[in-house]
Amino acid sequence: MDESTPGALAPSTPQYTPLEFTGDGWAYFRIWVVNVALSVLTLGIYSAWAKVRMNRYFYGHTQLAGASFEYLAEPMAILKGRIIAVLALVIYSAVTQSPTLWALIPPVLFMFALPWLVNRSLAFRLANTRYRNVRFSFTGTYGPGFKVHVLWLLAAGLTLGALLPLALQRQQRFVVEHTRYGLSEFSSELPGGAFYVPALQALGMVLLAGALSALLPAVAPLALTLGGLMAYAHFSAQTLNRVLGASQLGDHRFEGRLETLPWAWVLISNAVLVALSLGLAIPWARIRAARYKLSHVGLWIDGDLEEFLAAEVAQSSALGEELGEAFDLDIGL
Amino acid sequence: MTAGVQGQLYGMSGSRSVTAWLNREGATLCWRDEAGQILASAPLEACEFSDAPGGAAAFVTLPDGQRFETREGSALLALGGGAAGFRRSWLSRLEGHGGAVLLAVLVTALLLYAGIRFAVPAIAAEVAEAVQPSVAQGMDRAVLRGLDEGVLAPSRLAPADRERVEALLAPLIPGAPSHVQPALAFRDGGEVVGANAFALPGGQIVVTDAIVELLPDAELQAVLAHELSHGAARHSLRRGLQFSGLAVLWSWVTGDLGALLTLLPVTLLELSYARDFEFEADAQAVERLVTIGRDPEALARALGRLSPEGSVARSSGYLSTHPPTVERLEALAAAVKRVRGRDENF
Repeated sequence: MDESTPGALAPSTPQYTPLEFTGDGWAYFRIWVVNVALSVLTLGIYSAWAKVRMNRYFYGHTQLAGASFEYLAEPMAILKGRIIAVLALVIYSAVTQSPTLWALIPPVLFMFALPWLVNRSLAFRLANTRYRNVRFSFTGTYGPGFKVHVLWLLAAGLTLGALLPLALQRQQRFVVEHTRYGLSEFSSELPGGAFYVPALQALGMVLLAGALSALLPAVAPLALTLGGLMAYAHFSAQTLNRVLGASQLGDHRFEGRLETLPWAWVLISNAVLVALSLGLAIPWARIRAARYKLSHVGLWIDGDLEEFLAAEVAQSSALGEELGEAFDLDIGL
Repeated sequence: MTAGVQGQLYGMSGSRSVTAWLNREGATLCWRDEAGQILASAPLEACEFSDAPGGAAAFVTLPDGQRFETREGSALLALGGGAAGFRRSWLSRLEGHGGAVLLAVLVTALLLYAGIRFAVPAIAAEVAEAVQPSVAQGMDRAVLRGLDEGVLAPSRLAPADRERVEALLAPLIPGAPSHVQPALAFRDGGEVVGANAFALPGGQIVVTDAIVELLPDAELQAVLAHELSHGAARHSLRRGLQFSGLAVLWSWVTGDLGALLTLLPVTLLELSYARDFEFEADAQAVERLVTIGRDPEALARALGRLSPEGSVARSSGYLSTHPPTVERLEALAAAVKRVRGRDENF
């Protein structure tokens, strides 16, 4: 028996176990600055190794019930994906600049490629994540992906955003339900209306900031920036809580305990810190954000985590993930 | 009796684990449980060591797929004693070396400085040079349309006044690069824009009614010479390109951390480029005025007249990109002196 599993003491009642993040600003600063220097010196080629190094640091310093996460991606796979992604981005920008109808082709192609991109990106990331000698994987396929990532988004656009919270709920549920840990599938009971309350609250914050800046033009830039960041912090924290609260792996239920104000404080103070330090505080900003987020996410462990079976995980290419990053997609939780 | 490196030993087929103590016996690694029973063993050379950067968890992968996870990474490395699979990567050593980290900070700072000071402006100037005049003029129309929908209103100047201003600009144009086709656009700037003139990417010069009414002809001509110089050097086009260049450089260093406020350093740097352009346009305006036999000190007088009224110092946006008037006046006086001194030598 794993002594460090609290659930082992009382097998019948689930035990809330938060993720533990042990990353440290100074330690990460050393890794970050070596990464940056080598990336700049090699004209960006090293950035693939830098990404692996950074992820290995953050994964390695994330623990659940005494066991650590591992990031397994190979830098060469990331470099290959990155080179193709940059080429694709250059072609995309060149063709969309053209004044002819050809300019319409890349966005249409992109729309049809989007579900594939998201699926490949999640597959790469999850297949390269290991915990307790068992890897994660992603089983989403093109058809359902097209429905949630393209059709639902189009519906949201046609209704001027009224269906956007529903579209986002569909996307999140799709992601959770197609994630596997070894042979075990995650399940989600996220209800359709789950995101409407946080969305309306965030909208209210933006409107409030807008009204304030209309009344007092002198504080307009500050009010709008803070209002926007608050709205973002609120929406991201509350939706994450809801997604996690509705997710389950076997008998173990997830829970998110992020709170809007502390999370907003982390984001806002980070932005100020990075701006004032001309970027030197970036490592601390990343560590602070990860620490807050991870330590407010946990699992109600029912019994212990000993019973998961490993699965054969097909190794996937990094192209999807790198394309997604090049086109600035925000994929995953 | 338990001794050795403590950790969890995972089976090859699932998340099941047992607490194990690892010891080295000759060329063999041996895992034992609390009671001293052997759980697993493998030749040292066939095992693979890995650890998270910064020393969190460390792992040993056995040849059969079992894995051992421990927090005692250093003890584990010592146990491996430099065997092929048991070494910290050179990167780990680099990151652990204070001098190397300091060197990395210096190298990064130096390269960034070189990029910001030389590479970005040089590349932006090259690219701006390559932009077709028709494209730049298309941008002018788009920018002006945007301004017309926002802060600018149609001019209320009499046709005679407009012709007078056109006549002031005409003698300045010869000598400007062929790609610049300076055209005047008269607009009423209202309270927001005030007495102002500015050059668009393609060389079009926007003058507000207030500045035409405020400045005597000689000073207005000096201001036009300044704006013409902006257009000739494609300053606003280069500013846009420099901003993009800086943003790329910045995102390269900061990686995924692209929050709104973190663009502040980029904006600050861009403003410093903008102030350099003001000094450059002032100096070139002096040259132009002297070439056509006008009094170059009119520009300094125009600045002085615009400044106390407050339109230069107070208005935000375009004009906060300008250096303090006092500094500009000093630089102008020096430029006038330089041009005059040179001409007397001929």
